[in-house]
Amino acid sequence: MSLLDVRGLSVGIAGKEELLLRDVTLSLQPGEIQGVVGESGSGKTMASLALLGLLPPSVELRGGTAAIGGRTVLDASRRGVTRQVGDLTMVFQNPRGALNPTMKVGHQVRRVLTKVRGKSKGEATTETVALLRRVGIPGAERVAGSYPHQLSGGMCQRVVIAMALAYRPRVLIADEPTTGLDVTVQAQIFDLLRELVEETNCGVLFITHDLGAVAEMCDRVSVLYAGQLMETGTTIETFEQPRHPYTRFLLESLSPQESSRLTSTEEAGVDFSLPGCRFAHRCAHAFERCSDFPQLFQAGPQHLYSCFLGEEEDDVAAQRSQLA
Amino acid sequence: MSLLSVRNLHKTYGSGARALPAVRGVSLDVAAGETLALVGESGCGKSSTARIVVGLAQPTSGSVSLAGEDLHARVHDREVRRRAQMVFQHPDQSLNPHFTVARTVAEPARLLVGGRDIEDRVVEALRTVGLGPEYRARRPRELSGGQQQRVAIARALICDPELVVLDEPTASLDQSVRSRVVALLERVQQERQVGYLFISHDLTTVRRIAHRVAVMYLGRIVEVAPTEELFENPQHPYTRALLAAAPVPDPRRRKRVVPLRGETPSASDLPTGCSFQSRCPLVHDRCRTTQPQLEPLAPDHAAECFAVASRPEHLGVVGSDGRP
Amino acid sequence: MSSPVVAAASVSRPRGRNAQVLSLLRRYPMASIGVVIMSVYALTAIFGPLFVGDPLSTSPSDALAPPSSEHYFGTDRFGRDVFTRAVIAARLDVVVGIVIALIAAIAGSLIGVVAGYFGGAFDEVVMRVTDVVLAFPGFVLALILVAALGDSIPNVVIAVAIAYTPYFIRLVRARALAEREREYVDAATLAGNGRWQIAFRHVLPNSLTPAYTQAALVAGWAVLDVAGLAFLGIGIQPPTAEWGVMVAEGANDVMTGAWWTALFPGALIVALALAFQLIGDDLQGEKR
Repeated sequence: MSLLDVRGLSVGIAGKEELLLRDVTLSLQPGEIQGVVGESGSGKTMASLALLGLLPPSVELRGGTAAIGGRTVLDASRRGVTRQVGDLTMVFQNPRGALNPTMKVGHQVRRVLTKVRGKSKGEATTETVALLRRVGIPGAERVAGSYPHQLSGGMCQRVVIAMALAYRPRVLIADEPTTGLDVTVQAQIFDLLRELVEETNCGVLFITHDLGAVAEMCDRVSVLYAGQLMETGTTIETFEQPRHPYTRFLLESLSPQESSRLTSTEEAGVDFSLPGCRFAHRCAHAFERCSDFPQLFQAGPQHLYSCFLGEEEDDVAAQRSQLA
Repeated sequence: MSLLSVRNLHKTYGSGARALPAVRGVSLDVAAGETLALVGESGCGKSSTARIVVGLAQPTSGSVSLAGEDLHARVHDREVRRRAQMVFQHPDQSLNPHFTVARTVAEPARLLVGGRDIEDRVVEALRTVGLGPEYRARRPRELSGGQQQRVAIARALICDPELVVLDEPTASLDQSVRSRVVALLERVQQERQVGYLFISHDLTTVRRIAHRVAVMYLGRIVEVAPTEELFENPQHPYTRALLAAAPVPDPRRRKRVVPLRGETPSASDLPTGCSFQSRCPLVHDRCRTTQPQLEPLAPDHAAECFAVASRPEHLGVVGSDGRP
Repeated sequence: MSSPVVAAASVSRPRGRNAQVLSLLRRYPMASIGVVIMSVYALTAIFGPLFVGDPLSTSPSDALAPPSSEHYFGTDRFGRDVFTRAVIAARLDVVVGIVIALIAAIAGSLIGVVAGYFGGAFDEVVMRVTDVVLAFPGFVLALILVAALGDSIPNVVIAVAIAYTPYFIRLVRARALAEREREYVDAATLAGNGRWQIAFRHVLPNSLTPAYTQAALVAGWAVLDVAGLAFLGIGIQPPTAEWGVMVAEGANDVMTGAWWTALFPGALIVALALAFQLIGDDLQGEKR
């Protein structure tokens, strides 16, 4: 059984037809780091906010369920479904913004331990220092007494990760955790996340736009475009045998030769109102069937993609093999 | 003779006990039609260098000459301004939100060159960056990030500059847009033989666009080499660490080595001797007392490190994980 | 990275005019009420004088007549029609309020942008002077200034405008301080702009947003101040048809039961000031 199971998640702007997330399905195993990749407007951040119940007021849940360890934590058809402490927590993009600037960082970690985990003050203080040390902060006692503005961006992100650990989460959502950090510091944070996953066996949804970071960090990857899940599979399968034209396009845009004839996402715009496949209007291979919404097709035991093309190709291949 | 020639540039912000030396003796050259990339992490002084090179800031000491003329002696001269232009990091901030595209692009032509055919030149400049004349009446908020950056490039190019300083021009753009902007910059360089000083921390883009690369650490250039030479045969321990830290979009080439511990120390509290000593795996006694100088190792390849200069036999036998 | 919500909004199709008006009403409910009240005043100020007679014509036989179908707001002790005078006064009061706000906003913005963008000694001096001016309540300062300048409508306008200029200086200066650090200012330097050109062409337009809402608030306060000064017998003098003057003149007769002489012009002042306040408050809330 998977640790996190998201089915048919749909999210839309209140009072409008268009869906910002359409029928998104994700599953995450314990101890797995799964990349959630997409460009601006792909809905990757929206998906995590929906899971955390932090959608902005103008955005509403339209459908879908999410379960952690088999227990429902989100259900669009029922109100009042709540998470338990330790189900899920998030590491945000901008660590300095995620910390309270007027409170010492040690106090912020300690508060999680006392208020959420019910520790006594003494226990919490000892554990705070242990946690800060665990995330690789040198001189943890001294840093605990500092304010966020006295620390570097990398140190702030370590503090945020320490806070996340204080929740003992089963699922950790890391939303672009190294954006704005130097590459040498990024490598350290990546290493820290990998160690923590091995140690605690939690699952990580690693939200990023950087395919290099995905290749480096993730066991599996899910590709989102305009709120539609395009492809999901192991990182090696997805990078080496991408099945969806959009995944291919993303991977091609990494190469120095600008071989792709497709226009970039930004220039083409993201059309949330398309009834069928949302990539269809830019896709070089689009055909009549793409005006329907493609369900997920299976390319391998863990490799799914949302495109009719693969099915056609498979049919052609099947016909050929029959002929031969 | 090189187009841009920077000699022994120093820039110190503040003074006395609070002095912050941002640039400490930088010398570099850019030829016409050449791209020199200046890479390094936050606080290494690359942006300060860029601002001094276009005359937005005054150096504390040292000289900047453009086509043989002292730039800072004639910085208010319209002709000098015309020759050195800049593209900034945040396209959403570098365009005046109240100006239309046409007004933004026309401004340098109007103020620096003058003449009657400004409207034609605006259309031409927009065409060069791939925007049609219909964009003239738009305002920045009606454009995507990639389009805004194209407008900023058109503004930099309209007066036919000889040198363009590009300060992380693709950092805030999506991957697919990034490729296109880089392709645009390459095409313009081929057509006009403009020299680029390309400031970046994105090594993938640097490897694609630059002819030569200079690596900066704490205000000094620690290594400079032709691009392929630098990526294939890095010598300075910091360069090696930087290259090893950058994620590669290939899940089979995953490396689980953290190349560098700790973070860049503050420029206000520099040690005597080599500034990299606190993080360097090859540090020895001499590094703590004497500042190493850039020593040539091969044609066009120089590094500022006693360890590599004194052991030339190690050239070419360095592992890509940053360890000799 | 822009949020998906923004991306979605940018691709949504243009809506009908009615829908747009509705969404504006939803976003700015208080300002909408203010705009409706303001429109009534504006129409009265523009067209009112075409429909009423001479505000100064007296008729002693009709003195202190209560409101009736002939005299909607009754008459005052000289038998002048209060409704006629109130309608004629609309033009003066509305225009005076707006002109004061405009003068203060323009002067304050220009001084503010120069102080904020250039900084230095000029900024120091400006800040100390605004400190001093802001130490006085605006009304008291205006009172002193009119006393010094002499009673006339232009002098009242200037005096009240001076009292409110520091608010705009502060707002625009603070914004200009932030704007001058943005990349487009550097870009403008490279485009060949001089420092003054950057201050006025680039920084000023981008520093005005807070001044717009402040101007609406100041217009309301200015109406109150001008009327208040007139009530005290300073500035605009009888027999000019002006609400403050009318309240002052009518106040003597309220004791004898002729409540209409002061109540109607007083209510008009309050409603106008309220309308400005509603607009300013709602827009300011949006800004935050």
